[in-house]
Amino acid sequence: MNIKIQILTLLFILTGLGFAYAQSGTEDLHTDKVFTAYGKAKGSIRVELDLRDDEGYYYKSLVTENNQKAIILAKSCIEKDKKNAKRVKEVYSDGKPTTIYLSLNPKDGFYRFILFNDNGRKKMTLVYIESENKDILKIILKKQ
Amino acid sequence: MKTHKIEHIKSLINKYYAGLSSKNEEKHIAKFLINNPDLKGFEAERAIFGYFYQHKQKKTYFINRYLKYSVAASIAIIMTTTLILKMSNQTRAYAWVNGKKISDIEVVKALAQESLSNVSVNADIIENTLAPFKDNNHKIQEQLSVFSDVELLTNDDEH
Repeated sequence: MNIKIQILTLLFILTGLGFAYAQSGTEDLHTDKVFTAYGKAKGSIRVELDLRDDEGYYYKSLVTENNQKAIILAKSCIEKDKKNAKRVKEVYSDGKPTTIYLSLNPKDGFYRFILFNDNGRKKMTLVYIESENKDILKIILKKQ
Repeated sequence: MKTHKIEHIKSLINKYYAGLSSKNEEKHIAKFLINNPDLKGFEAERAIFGYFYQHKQKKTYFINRYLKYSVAASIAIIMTTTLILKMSNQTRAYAWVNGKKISDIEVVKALAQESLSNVSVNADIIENTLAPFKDNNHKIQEQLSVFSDVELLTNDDEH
């Protein structure tokens, strides 16, 4: 009986935590590690913008400067996430990927995109966009 | 009270003292003594089994209390999480610059625009890189159009 109650309690707690966790867009991606590891580091700018109600998208970005480790981690994580990507676009410079676009397989009706840029001067930009609109990337980039 | 039932309980009690009784038999004795509190001649046994019964009752009470607290705590956690998430969803616009948190939505939006500009510049690079191929594609189409008549002739020959 005691074990049953403990299991029940644990299930309740896990349900709550799972519910909390499911709200974040990148939790199932390898790229999430980069946001977690370097989001609050010195020389980093991390942005999290939830505009799902207003403009129909969720935006998350990380810009790091003079942080080679972050670039290496981002590239290796993107390489892993690439396996679940529907479309991949890459730009190489001197044999190294400088810009990567991943269009991931939709999750729960949301289209998901990862954008990465290494400017070659130790500055990295990592962007994650999630939306129900499959053309969101075009819309956002056109606004620029 | 039927005599044979009392005799049966007495034999079970003897078995208990001899250390040969099973758990079920002990439960049976305890149940009998609880259900017959006025029956004389079982005071010592009532004290023994009554103690065990009370102990068990306390344990059950503890479990019930534990269950109530657990359920209440779990509901509280879920409700708090939901509330926090709902609140955070309303104004979920944050930025961390060098580890310092900024929650001014205008500043956050400006930072988002800035980070996006780093990748949008490169979006043009892709388009530019693909442009020569698009031109080449037109040229190839033009060149191949010369042979479109040949294809028609070949088809006629086959017939």
